[in-house]
Amino acid sequence: MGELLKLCDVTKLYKTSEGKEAVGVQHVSFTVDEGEFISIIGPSGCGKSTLLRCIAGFEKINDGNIYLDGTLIKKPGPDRFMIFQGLDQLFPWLTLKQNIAFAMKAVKAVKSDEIMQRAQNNLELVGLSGFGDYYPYQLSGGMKQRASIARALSVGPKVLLMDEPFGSLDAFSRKAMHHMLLKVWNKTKVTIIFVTHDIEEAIDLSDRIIAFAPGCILADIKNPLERPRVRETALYRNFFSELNGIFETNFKGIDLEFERLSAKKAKLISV
Amino acid sequence: MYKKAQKVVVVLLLGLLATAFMAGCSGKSENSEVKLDEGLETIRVAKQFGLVYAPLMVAEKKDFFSKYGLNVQWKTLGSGGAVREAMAANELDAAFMGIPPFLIGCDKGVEAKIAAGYTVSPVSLVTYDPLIKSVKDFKPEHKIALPSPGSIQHILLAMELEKVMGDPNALDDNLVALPHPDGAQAMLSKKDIVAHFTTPPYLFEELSKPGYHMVLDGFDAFGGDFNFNVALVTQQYHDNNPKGYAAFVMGLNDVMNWVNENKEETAEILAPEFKIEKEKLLEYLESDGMNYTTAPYGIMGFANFMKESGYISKIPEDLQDIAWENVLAQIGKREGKPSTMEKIQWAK
Amino acid sequence: MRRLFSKVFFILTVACIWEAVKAIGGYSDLLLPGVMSILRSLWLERIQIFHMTLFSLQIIGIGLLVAIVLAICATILAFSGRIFSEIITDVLAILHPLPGIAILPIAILWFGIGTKSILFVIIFSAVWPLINHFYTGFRSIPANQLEVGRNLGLSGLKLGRDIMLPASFPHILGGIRTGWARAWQASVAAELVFGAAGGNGGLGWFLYKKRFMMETPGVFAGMLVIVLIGIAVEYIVFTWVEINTVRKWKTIIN
Repeated sequence: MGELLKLCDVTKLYKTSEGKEAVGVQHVSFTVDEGEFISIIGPSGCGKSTLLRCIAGFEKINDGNIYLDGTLIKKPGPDRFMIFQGLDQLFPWLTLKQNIAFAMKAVKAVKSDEIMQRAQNNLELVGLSGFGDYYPYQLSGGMKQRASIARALSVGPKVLLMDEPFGSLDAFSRKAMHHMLLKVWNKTKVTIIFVTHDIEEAIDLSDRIIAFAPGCILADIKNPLERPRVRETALYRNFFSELNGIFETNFKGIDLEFERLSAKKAKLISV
Repeated sequence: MYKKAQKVVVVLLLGLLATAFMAGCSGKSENSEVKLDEGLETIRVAKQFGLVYAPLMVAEKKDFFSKYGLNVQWKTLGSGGAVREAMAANELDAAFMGIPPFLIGCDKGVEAKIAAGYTVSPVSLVTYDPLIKSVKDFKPEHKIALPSPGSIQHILLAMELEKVMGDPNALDDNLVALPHPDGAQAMLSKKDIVAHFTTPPYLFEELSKPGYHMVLDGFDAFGGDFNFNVALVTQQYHDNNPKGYAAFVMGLNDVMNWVNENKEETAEILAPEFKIEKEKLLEYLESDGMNYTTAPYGIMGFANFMKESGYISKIPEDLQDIAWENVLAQIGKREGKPSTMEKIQWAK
Repeated sequence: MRRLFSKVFFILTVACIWEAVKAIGGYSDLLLPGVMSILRSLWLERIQIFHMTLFSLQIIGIGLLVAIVLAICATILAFSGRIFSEIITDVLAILHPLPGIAILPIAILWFGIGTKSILFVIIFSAVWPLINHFYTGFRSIPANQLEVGRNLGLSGLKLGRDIMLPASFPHILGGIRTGWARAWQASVAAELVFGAAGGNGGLGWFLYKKRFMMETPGVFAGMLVIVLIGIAVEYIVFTWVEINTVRKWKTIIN
């Protein structure tokens, strides 16, 4: 498995509404291998979502470079597809099948006579085979997120960028979603970058975990646990404590600064 | 939702029903109140703005009616249409309007008759387009302004069109309804309209400008003189207030005569009202063709034509149907061949 | 069937009460015409009413179309810079509450007494609610949907047509609905106030003429047509669009 995504010295600056500079992401470098499932964890407002948005191309970075398969990333594209936390990312005026078909037509990746079949296949993959003709309002939150994943996969992305995709769901449906996501990942071998503030979620899902603090990487750790992860084992508890410890030692002093930043996040202006 | 709306509408209509019932009961008592007014009769009269109302304005200023024991409540209304509607709604006892609008009102059930003629005034169609010499010369894009559909100007134009082109409605699509001042303004700026059917002072003002000329003289279209306005009194007032009615007619005669004898003083009194110079106003008052009179002229002359052209559904059978006894007495009824006075009530 | 029956019953009830009001109040046809004379007038004038209705609808259609184009331009402008959005919000706050008919005197000064003035009043009446709704609509598009669009490589016109338009459609529909209502009112009011021009007149001019001829049944017939067209457009055109779009998508706004 070769190197797919490479971040070199990426910096993204923001301005607060008073004009002061605030750091979104600062001098971040790491690589992601093809087929890898990696999680970026950290408290809310630490810049992990910003980092994901930089990779997606939604944000213009101030310094550094991001390469996908050796090509410099400049703008958004279907080769890096984003799944958001919000339950409103499906187009409400289209049925699930139409949502998926719309995406495929937009990127012109699939021959038009195959589109409907592909859409159906993707819905089956996420466990929504009978819901192709439903409108988004007719679905539960978990089903909406499944459909979003099906839509993302339909355009054949190299990387799936998931920004706390299950953050709006209750604990039970989140468990089911984890199960589904791992199944999809096993089947498609798509590379996934998964942002979350839930350490257990990261351990359960990913091969590798990047701990993120305001603007920079605190640690980049390989997940030592066997799949499927079993939370009751001592190994699991130890790994959890290790990750938790990273944040506890690093966050004592900057907690307050952090909250200030998160509170102002809405007012930040990209520079 | 729909059911609820239905109920609301029905309740509203029932409310209206109750109001109508009460209005029907109280209609008569209102009049007896007027009579109780210590021997002094009261009359509600509408006036509008314009040179033709000069005698009425003098009457109001110099209080011409009180010496006959009449207390006049003057009401100023915006348009002839509103005056007629106010009469129909019994908000007015007397009003002044052109014969054609009166005939339309009569035809539609407004119960009022002519109590006096009220002036004879020139009324003409003016244009600034040198190519337009007669009504035949109007092209479809030529707009002609007149005060309103069914006005005396509209009927005069239709009469001429009937004579010349055989179709009274030939220029209906060219007509624009504009009040006299707006029409005059549009004419003088040569904007939107090419012709204006109007009366003094606007008529004189337009004709005094170089290049503006008359296309049609109202007297020619009609074939004789006619009252520009007539004074109307409602059936109800006439029947219930004979003293008030008599006083109203006397006062009108009195002030009309006074204006004829005292044009200069009239101009002096009214100059501030019209906001123009006294000399200018005097010039207007004394202009050619203006006749301040209460004698009836051509009061039947419009009826035939208006019936034939469909403006009214029936011709008044007799002068009695449209005029009160004092007017009928003025006209008289000559045995054998009709008299001159009788003849001039009809168009040629 | 039952709904039809209830509607017919309702109309009959209204007609009966109407006639009762007329009988008890002793009103003549001039003040309160009977139901039959209104219907007779409607039938006698059907050709004229048809042409005038067509004229009204045509001028409102043109006016509404121009207003929509203007509103789209203004909305795009409002989104192209903070200054523009502030200016447009201020102008909206000042001019939105002004009834269109209030600018008729100015319209006559600028555009004369022809159809152009009425068109101007219609456009003026409709454009402010349109801008208001369009602006709100575009602002309320979920950021996620826009970013999905960008993620799919859409931008500019395609993003506008395929995502921004359907996403803000509930507001756009609301705007056009209000715009239509105000345009319809404005066209009738403008013609009623200054009487329009002879051959080129709509239903307002019809009312005006009937008023001056004291044909009260004709006035009521004209009003009936105005009401019926209002109902038809509201309950047939807009409701149909609504059922096939925002009600189907459950993105309806109140």
